[in-house]
Amino acid sequence: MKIGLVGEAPNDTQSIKNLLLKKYTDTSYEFVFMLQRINGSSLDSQKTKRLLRIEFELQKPNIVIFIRDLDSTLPNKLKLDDRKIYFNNSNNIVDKRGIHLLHIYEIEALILADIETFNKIYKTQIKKFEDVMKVKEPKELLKKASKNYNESHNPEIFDKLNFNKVLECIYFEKFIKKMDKLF
Amino acid sequence: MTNIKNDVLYLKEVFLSGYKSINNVNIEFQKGLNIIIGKNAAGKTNFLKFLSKCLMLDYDELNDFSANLIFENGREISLKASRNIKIEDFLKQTDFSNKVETVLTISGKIIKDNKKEWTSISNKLAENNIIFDTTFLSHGLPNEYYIVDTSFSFKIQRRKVSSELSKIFNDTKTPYFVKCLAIDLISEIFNIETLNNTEIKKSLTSFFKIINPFNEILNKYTPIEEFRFNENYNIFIEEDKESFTLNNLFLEFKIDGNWLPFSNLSDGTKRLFYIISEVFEINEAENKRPSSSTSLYLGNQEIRRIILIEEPELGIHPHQFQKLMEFLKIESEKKQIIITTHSPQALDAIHPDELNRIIIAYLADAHEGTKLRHLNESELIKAKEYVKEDYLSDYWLYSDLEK
Repeated sequence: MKIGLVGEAPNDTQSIKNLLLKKYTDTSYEFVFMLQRINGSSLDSQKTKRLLRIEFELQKPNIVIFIRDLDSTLPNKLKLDDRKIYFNNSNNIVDKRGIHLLHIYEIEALILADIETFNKIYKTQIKKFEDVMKVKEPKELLKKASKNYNESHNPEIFDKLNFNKVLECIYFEKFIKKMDKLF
Repeated sequence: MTNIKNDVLYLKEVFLSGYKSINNVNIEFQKGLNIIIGKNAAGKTNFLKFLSKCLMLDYDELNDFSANLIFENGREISLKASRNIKIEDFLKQTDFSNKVETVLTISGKIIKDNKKEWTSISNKLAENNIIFDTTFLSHGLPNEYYIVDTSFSFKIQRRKVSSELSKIFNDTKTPYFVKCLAIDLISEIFNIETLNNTEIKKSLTSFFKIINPFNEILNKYTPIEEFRFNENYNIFIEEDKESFTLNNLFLEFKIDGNWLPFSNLSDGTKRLFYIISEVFEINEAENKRPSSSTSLYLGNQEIRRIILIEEPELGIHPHQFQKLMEFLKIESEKKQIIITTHSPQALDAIHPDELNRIIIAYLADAHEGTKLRHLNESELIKAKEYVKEDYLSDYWLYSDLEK
């Protein structure tokens, strides 16, 4: 099973890969990066779409995970519609083999879902959140809590996260269920 | 790209081992342009330096090394060199230049020493018409850039070359362009019959015109509109009329209508001038040119040039760099040019049918060191798809060309 990853930044795709490898440990799962060096601002460009098609045709993944931040909490119809359009367009490029991982507010919400790990690494004392999806700007929250933290650390942090605790984040849990149905 | 004729000598393949991160490296080259890409610390510079030393037969700083340079000019030519001096032997003598073992093989036949005496590898190459010159352009500019960046003064005695001129000829670090200017200057001055101010000035005026063909090229590929020799030089003729000293010979450059010394040019413009003046050759040059393989000065048409350039994009604006790549591509029809680069733009100078001109340098591991390879089959397919949609550089920038 080959799983393609398309993200907003190389750190994001690497972080999600590290996290998914905790659950999908079997060697039959192969995670591959598609357009690894694309950044968020160019995700919607025609050029990115053309290049994505090349990657899809040549790498031949069974499914493709499109990873994006909502950059907002819920509900935000305008932003949700915008991301829906992005996903539908991208899904057409990969012959409807796509699956959307939409972070609310942003990828760092998943770090908040297992805040104990972050606290342990950075010696901080951030309290557990009831619903991480309600936290505005989680990255800024983490930066304020620790001057040592920045987003380039994310792949290493995701490598240390407790997968089951991250599942407490509802959008991520739904994503995993959706993904499991595809296997 | 039009290839240089098949019978023209070019470096076809190298095996190099024993210099910094370079151990057991084997790679094939194409005629014309070759582009080496690779991440920082992959060993590109080490490879280029090692290769330049071997091509220049400059083994002074090498020990515990082996090199096999394979050339092609209708015949397959192999030039092997190695030296392995043990620590205890180092304490016995100071000069080990004669301890380099060299073997020249042509079409499978080893070229032996002449019957009566030991024959140097340079002589063997010359006797077998294997004549090439190597120019290596590393980062930055030459430390001593006579005539271009530093005014040059020298004494000329009838039929004798002064120490100042001798230094230009004998120093392997002298830029090719400066060396050629010195040859042209001497050739012109030695024709003066009567040493007086008028004759010398007449001769110099004729010499100054030698650089004119460069102006078209500089105008086309750099911000330099034209360049010329500064006319504020001084001539001092000795009383015996047998010798004279020429003082303050240097070049000046026209940018935006203003004549400036080299030191006043921007860093990028200096580098552009350096690269272009080292690569460009006046086809019609009548005077002799240096050949590093034979240590001889020979006719321009007899010598094949191999030019190694380290990161030509450094300090150069992307628009200007595109022009520079166009220049290098055109020049590579007559010369073999091997560059290292971090610039994706450099790849866009390559035609989709010429992807074998791309070489990837990578660090295998601490023990194995640097390795070089061409694109594999799946990478070739992907590269062609990227070119079809947009640019080859996109493959390098956004995909997995270098994992």
